[in-house]
Amino acid sequence: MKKLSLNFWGLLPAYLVMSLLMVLPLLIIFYVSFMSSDPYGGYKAVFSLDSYTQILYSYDWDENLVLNLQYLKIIARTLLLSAATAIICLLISFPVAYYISRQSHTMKTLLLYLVTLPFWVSMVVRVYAWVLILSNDGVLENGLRFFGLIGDIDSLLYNNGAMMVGMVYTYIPLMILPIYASIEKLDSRLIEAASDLYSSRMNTLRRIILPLCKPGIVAGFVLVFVPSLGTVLEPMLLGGGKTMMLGNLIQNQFGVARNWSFGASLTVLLLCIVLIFLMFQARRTNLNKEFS
Amino acid sequence: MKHAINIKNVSKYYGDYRAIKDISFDIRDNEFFTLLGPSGCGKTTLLRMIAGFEIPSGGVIKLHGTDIQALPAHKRCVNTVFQNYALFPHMNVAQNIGFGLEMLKWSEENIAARVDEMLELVHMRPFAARMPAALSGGQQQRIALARALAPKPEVLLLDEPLSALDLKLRQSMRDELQQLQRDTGITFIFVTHDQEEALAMSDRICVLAEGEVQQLSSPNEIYENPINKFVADFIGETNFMAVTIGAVNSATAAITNPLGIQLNVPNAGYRPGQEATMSLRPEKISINTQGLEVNLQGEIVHRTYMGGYTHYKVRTANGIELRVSKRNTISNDTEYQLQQRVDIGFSKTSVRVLCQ
Repeated sequence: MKKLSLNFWGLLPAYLVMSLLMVLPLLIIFYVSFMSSDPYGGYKAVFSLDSYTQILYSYDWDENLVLNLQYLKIIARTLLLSAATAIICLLISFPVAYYISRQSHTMKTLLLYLVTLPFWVSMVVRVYAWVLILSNDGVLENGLRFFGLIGDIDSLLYNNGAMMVGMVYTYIPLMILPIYASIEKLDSRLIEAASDLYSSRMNTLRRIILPLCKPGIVAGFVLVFVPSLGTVLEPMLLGGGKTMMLGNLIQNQFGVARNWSFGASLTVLLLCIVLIFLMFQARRTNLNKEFS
Repeated sequence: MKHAINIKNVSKYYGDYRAIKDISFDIRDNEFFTLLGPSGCGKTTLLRMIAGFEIPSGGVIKLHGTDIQALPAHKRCVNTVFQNYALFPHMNVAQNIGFGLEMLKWSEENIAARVDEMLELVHMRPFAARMPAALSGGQQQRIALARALAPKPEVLLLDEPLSALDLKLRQSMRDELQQLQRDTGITFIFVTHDQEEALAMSDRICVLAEGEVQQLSSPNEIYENPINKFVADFIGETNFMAVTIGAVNSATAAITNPLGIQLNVPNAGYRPGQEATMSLRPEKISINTQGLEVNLQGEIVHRTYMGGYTHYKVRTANGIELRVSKRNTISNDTEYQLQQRVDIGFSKTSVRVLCQ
């Protein structure tokens, strides 16, 4: 009994932090999402599902509900761009991680340090750097023009491509590190065994290396995909506010639009997307556990 | 006779370090060939060069007469049983065994049939669907063997495959490996540092030390007629004594030895006054036995009881300590006590004189 209470008091700070900083805000968001919006901003404490119907429908001039795909488009774009970001990160990260794992010990330390180095600089600054690189008359455009690789073009900035470049850049260390960890754990004798058994390098990659690195790849995918869903900064700075993602929409509802309940319902939606994705991922990991 | 492997002037450098120093020998078809030596002697390097994991710095390796230098590992008709088995952890037993066949683009029915045949061969049929992690060390060992034998390699390479097993299992796997080699008729090249293993299984043994071949011969020849001090010391136990070559004629040479016995051995090109080492195996000396050529008096100074054998140390009248190994048989299971005075004797033909 005494021990139990010691456990309780010892864990109390953790409970407090979790409940005050995680559970409570989530409950508030959940609560607000089921309230009706106040025309003067914020919300009114009157139960209403309006903020959820608003995701798919809007009222026309005669107060009739009509289908409105505007928000659905933003959600779809968010999912697509996040998935694309994660896939591009994966395609770049695997060779990079593999290369790092084959280096000498000192070289490994140096390269891994370089991978994590951007984390030491504020994200806003780093994304702004991309604005400078991609802007009209910016470094990249002038460079490409100098070598005659492009003629007159529209801006490299303020489109989905620019947003994705920014997102890939921001999140790629989160992909490289777990993949590197799983490649490091890979027994090099298995690769020798595969080539001893007549497997070409390509087959060895496909049949031995990739399957054994799957835990790292899946972890990296989650670590990139999930924060990408909630990304705010890149669409704002590199997308120029023209193309919105879910994060920006939520921010707008709490900020400019002052429609808290709609913002809250969108937040709940984003949370549900993330949870569903993580649930799938957890089920797959459980299946994988049988192997190891 | 056609050779499975020809190794000609092969050397291997790691920077300035010479791991293999200009080695040449042939491995016959269908033989159980063992590369034996202490760690760092280059035996594993040699095996890895045959497998294609290491490239020789010089020399030629031929497989059934064809130079395989230019072939990468996955194009050589040799398979390896790795020291720690290196089974693919994400594939079950059947998939592991079938992997090589799949890479060779065998048809699915043929793979299934061959996998089944291999499982039968290593007595592992009930385990086809198991994952490697759910197998014991001995079972993993059998699967590794089956996997390597499945593609019908021209030569099977075994890199200390028994070293991770416990003693009992190791002994039974020895018999099985030997049987397997006879049944399949495939040339086995077996790498080990365990001289007992080498003696027990091999048709021929190549003793390596410091990147050089010391002796290549049958197990019996290697044990009974070691070519130098290293081989005599590494294989089995022996008593070494520093000796000097005395009078020499065309047929025999007299050996001046610390035991103070009159000893003449066939002259193998000795020079008078030459320093040499005399080797006498412990089991060639017997205690209190009548009718031997050489008889000495001594005192038991040490005794180690091993069950089937007892190892004694006997100090002779002129202060030399000799190791004597006595088999405990039905007719003679006498136990000698410490400080007991005994007669020891041996035959002069058991003495070997080694020049290096």
